[in-house]
Amino acid sequence: MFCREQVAQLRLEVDEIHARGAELVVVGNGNRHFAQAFREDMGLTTPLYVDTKRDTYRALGMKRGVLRTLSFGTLKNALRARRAGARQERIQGDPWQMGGILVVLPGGKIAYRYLSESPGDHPPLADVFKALPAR
Amino acid sequence: MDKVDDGAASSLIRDLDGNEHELNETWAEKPVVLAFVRHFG
Repeated sequence: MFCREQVAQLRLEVDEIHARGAELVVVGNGNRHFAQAFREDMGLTTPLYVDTKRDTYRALGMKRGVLRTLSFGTLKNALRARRAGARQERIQGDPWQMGGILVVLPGGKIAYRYLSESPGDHPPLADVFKALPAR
Repeated sequence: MDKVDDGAASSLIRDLDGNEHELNETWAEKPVVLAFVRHFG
């Protein structure tokens, strides 16, 4: 549900991301067959990759844990996501893995990094855009 | 500004055709908003 909510929000901003000379790339930890279905369901047109071993998640310091997932905060975020129209489909990937958003510039400099503390903990998109080049 | 460390930059992701890529390919030509989702669900 939360990943759908996040991707739905980002998908609405793809034109603005492109207008800033950047690209949106989504990485998930389910397998590529589920990724393809997710892509079609979400109407995602930008690059989508998978990392079933979660090596990139670990290397970038993304958080993981059962207690992070099963918390009051998660319940609160779930209610918010449901109100926004997101629905939980069958989970394809590691349910205990948290995500995050980075803005990385050519050469590898990190202009922005947000590591989610819990499911549904997403950064304000305004902060993401501040890290992108101006139009 | 921090830089993605070499280990993370060279870690592998797979496209939907099954081809492997180093993560650093995603920012090779232009800035990238890299969104890591929890799972596909």
